[in-house]
Amino acid sequence: MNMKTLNKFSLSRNKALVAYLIVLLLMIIAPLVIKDAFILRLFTTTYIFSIVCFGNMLVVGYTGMLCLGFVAFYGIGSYAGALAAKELGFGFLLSVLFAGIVAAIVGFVISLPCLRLSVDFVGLITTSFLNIFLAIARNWRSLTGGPNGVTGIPRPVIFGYRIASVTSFYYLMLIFMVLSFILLNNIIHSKYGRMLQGIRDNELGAVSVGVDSRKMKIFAFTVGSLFAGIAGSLYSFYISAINPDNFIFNISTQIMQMCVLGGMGSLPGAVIGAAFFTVVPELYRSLALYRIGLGGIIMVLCMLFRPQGLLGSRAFAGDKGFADRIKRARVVAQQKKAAAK
Amino acid sequence: MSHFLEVEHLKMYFGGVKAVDDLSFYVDEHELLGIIGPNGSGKTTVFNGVTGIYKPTGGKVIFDGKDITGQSLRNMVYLGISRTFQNLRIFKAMTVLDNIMIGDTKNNHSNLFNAVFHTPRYRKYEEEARQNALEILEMTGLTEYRNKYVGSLPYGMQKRIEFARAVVVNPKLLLLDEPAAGLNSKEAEELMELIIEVKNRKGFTIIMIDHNMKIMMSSAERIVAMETGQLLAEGTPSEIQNDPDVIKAYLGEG
Repeated sequence: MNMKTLNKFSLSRNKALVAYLIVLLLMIIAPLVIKDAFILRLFTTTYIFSIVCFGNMLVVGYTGMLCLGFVAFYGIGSYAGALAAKELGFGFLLSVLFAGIVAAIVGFVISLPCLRLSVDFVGLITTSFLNIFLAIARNWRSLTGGPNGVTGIPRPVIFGYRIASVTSFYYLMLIFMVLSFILLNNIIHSKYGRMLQGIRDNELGAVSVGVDSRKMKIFAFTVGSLFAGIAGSLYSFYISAINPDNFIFNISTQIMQMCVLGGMGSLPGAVIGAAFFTVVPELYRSLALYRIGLGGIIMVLCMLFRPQGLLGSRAFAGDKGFADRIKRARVVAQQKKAAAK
Repeated sequence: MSHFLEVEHLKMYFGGVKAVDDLSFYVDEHELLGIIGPNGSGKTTVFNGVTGIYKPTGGKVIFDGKDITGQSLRNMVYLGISRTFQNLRIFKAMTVLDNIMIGDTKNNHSNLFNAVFHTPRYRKYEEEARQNALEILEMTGLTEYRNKYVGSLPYGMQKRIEFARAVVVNPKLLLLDEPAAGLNSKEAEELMELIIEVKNRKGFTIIMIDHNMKIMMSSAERIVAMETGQLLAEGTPSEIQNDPDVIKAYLGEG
């Protein structure tokens, strides 16, 4: 019996591993096949946003807190990384680490007032925090450069190798994305992941088996903003000039949309969501004005037909999806027919 | 005088409402004590007061010789008390196995570093937790559902999962809040058989709330009857069954 169970475990894990490796291989060879710089840049942006989504997923998808101002941590990391490299003369890796730690500390502080509140009010707190962050970024000219932001961020140099070309940026972001994925995936499949998900599904139930929900919520917020900060600094190195408009509320909504579409509680889903909302808006670029509205329509359709998102667990959806209702109606009709016969 | 769990003069007031008023009872080790009473008589509030969900207004709870009055719910697991809830509090978007494995948190001493890098220490504890959970699943007859999401399983199964989760923390005292509520009589009987079997195997002490008199009479060793937050009667099932006060509380005056 036990042998059989163990086999089954390793089998399903192996299957996932094979799928991951295939996708990774495709990602690695993509620049060799695709020579179009524009498309490669889209992928590069996707990887950066994937890392932010990982962080958001940890807070929202795994712990069940609503963080509507998540872009603030991304922005803080962005500014911290850029200023560390430009003003303090830190090297690239050190700047990224510095940015992550600064964002994590801020995330830690923000998580404290969130502990006593219900989900909706956590959303409000984080939204207001985003506004505070934007106000500071726009007005503290001596540090942040005000509305003009920080420009002339130096190109990253790693072990003497200067990263400037489209392809080298692509690989740099891919490496960071894959590393973040592995680290978070390990956390989520450990007891920490179980505790977080327990809090998400039923906080009192989790506490009753000995989970310290306050500690775990702080943990989720801190680690989530750590990854957001890292992604932010990568972004600033990538586009070499940042300003407060890169971190407005719309971007926060977009991050949330990516997570919802990809599937709450699924890390690969975060990558898919990030890819979707990075690539698809380019396809209807001519409709740029309606961009946000189209995003909304996609969200509504997602809620109707696949409430759990593309890769999310079925259990999130219950049976409230539109497609489920049709299916149920059909089953009921069939039963009636059978009864009539 | 020293019982396994002693509740002395427990008072739980919410504003002017005296949900539990000066209630005293005890449980001995390896005993199955039933608590009965009409709706709103304060049975669940007693559980909430004992397990620290609410702080008692007055009175004492003494467990295994220690005063545990007002300790937090989280600490209960470390003291050796676990409970189930009247309205299921399980993790619907997690698999059955994960629902049970989460109960092993207190024995799992791997730290974050171990978890992030999947060190041998992490693997050791994870494997221990898995074996422990599989053993409980086997015992509760849930093995074949272990990879299913809990939200997709029928209600009776979910009740069983919550019971299994309370068992996996290996408590000394188990508080079951209406384990048979919402189940049909066959399911309820099966669950009770399971509870008794697990109790005998693990040597638990159990306090159980339920409305189902048939189940209570057949499984409880002693029964405490409550009404409007106060002790109405206490005794063996047959004593309770024939107690005029209890009959009056349930059926009204004849």
